[in-house]
Amino acid sequence: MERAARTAQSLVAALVPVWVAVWLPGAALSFGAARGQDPVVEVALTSGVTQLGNTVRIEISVENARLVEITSIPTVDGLSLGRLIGPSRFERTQIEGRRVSRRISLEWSIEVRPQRIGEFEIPPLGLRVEGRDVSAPAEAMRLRVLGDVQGADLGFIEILDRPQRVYEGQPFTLDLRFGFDVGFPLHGASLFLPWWQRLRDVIEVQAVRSSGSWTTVRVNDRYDVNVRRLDPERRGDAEFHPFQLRRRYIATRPGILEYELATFEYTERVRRGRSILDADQVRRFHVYQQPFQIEVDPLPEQGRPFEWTGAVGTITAERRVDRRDVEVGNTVELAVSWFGDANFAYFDPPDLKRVDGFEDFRVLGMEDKKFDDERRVVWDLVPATPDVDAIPSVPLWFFDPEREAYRLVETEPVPIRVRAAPDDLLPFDQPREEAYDLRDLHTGPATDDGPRPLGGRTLAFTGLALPLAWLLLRSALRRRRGDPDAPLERRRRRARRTLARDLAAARRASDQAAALGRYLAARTREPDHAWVGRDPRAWAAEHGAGDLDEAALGELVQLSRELDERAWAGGDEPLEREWLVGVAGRLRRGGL
Amino acid sequence: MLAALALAAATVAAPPRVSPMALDQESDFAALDRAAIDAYRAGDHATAAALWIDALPLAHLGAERGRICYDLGNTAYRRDELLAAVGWYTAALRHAPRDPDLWANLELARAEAELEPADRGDLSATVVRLLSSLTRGEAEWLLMGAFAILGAALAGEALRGGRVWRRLALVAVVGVLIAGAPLGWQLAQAGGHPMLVVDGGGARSRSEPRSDAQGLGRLQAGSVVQRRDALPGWVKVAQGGREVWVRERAVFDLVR
Repeated sequence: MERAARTAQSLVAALVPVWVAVWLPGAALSFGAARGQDPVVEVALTSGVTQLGNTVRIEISVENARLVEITSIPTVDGLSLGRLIGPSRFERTQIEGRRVSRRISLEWSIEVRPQRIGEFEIPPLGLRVEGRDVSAPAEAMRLRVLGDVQGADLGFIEILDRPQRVYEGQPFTLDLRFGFDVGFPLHGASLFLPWWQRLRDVIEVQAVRSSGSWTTVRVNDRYDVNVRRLDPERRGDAEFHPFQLRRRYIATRPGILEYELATFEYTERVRRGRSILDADQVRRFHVYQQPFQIEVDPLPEQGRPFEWTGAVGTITAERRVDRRDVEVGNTVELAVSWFGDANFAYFDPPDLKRVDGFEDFRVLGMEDKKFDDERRVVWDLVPATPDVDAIPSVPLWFFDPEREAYRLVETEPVPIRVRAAPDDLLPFDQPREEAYDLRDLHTGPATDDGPRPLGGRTLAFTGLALPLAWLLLRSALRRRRGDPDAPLERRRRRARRTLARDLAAARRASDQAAALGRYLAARTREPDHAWVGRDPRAWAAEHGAGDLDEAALGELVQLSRELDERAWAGGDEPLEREWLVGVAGRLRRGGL
Repeated sequence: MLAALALAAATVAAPPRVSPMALDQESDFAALDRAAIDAYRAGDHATAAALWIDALPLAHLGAERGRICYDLGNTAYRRDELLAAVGWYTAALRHAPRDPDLWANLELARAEAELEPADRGDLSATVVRLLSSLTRGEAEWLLMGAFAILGAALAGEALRGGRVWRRLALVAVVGVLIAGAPLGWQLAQAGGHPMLVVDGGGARSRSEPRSDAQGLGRLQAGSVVQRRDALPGWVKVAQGGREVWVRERAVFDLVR
């Protein structure tokens, strides 16, 4: 069995090089032949006829070439050509016996969206293939665009009250209405608005949102946009479900704003799909809003006042104050609101410090709030003198597009009463001058210069010496006594306090003897009973406790004997506590 | 450990020597100062300024230099030289960083010169003000105090051990780092030579110290630049990674 396997392996090992030797040259020759073929360029429309609202594609395919570049894409009036998508690379290898053929193709596509009904010719595209300039196709591509007649019967799209002309800075509204017949079995709806979010030189501002019912519509196959559902309305003989899409813009630069053909597409389902792969069949209807332009004019320089700060529109002003009776130095809040149809977020409010009539006020602060239909500014004003009897008008210059002139809107003056402060009857501007003047000279000679600098060396030495000293001290102590935080060490340090507490609680000589024994054991790091029956002199001699003087040891012996006698032979009467504490202290100081 | 602290204390305990020349300087300084104060009180601010500028190099105490800079700031303010006043007050801050009068006058001068406040009150400005609120000596002594606390904590840890002492030592280390921040800030600032742009329209910068050299824009009035070099009438300054030449009169030396 094993031998047969080895034979088979040997056979395969011998045949593979032979097959490779035979196949590879053929393959190489065939491949070389494939590479040697001339490039084939094909450019064509996917359909020569389409309906306004639908799209077709220009498909570009180049075979037998690796270096391809699309050098020019024509522009055609009435057609909107999208961006170039691609390339996609396709390779097909075919083996027929010893012949291997290989096809490589690069493919691009460009979406074409008609802007109007008509017949169009799309000139050839420019390509550079393997370094050579090529135009394809040989003749212009023809596209016929038909209108959707029935779509206009069952649906509508329009823009209401659009302006023909605006001034730069003037806000304007596009009110797009669209809808479909109430009897139409709607399957889906979408809008195609070429100008959506692509307009240059305009700023979109928030339109005031109306109440009502809202739904979502797909715009440009990309954005889901909220539209307002309106009440059904009658148009001719039919009734429609209308919707409203409202957008508000401000033109920022003079010129022409181009709004290309807008399309409302709505569909009905003609056959329900049976699976994921079998999609619904739908019939599409289109209705169109023809292209239009809005001319943006520059603001006139003639008659422009120096005080104009950028307001454009129609504006009215209101004012209110939080109080009318105030003392000198106290604050009055003056709130001015400008309403109307104007670029409320894009102008500067008046600077009251420069407005005539406000010389007798100090302007402490300003709160500026911008709304879609209102600009509200609140100033904190401080009357500087009791002579003030009114807050003057607040002026605002604006350009009125309706009258095509710069106009002034002013608030009404607000009568106020300003009373002198009870504790300071001087006019406010006199103390104000003092309050805000310089603080006086410093004339006294400075004798104290503060602490003298220590110097970098001292600090560096200290900073280095500290950890070093700590390390040395720590290691020396631990080598000598072990860990100072060990339980026996802590017990030893606590022994004096424990003895004092035990003696205070002891009522008999035997209790005192036990307390003394525990004290001695704690000091010598031994168990509590270690000193029961021990001869202190013998222990001192054995442990080399030479610092303990003979007198202290003798006193300890005498004390122990006295305690034993009282405990065992007497009435267990306690000794005087001071004697025990004194002996314990002398032993501790002697090094116990 | 205690020896280290004792040595440090001994280093600074020695009183400063006073030479006869220093005594002469002191009397000259006092005379100039007195004359400048009299001139100021008499409304002769130009004379006062000249006398104080002469007195400034004679002041041997940092506090005195700070006081003279403060008074020069008042003089400049009274002469309507608001940016120069800002410069003098800013220079005085190096010697008297917590003087409330100085801060009040500095903010007033900056406001009238339409510069943003020296202390904007936000977090970064507050941190900077805290860090720069000590003189060099105070900052060093603060650090030494923190070292002393650290020494005590380390001694406790060595003698007693245990978690509590270890934590105390750790807290003391953090304390040293915090206490060292003002000194660190001062050391970081010490390398530079700050100057204030006092040309009201902004200092015109040039590629070379010549009037006909290529103009490179303007340095904003009130901004602080670092001095790099100087030639008669010209100063080379750095701002934002770029070095340019400006007229000497357009900048104010903040190191006094």
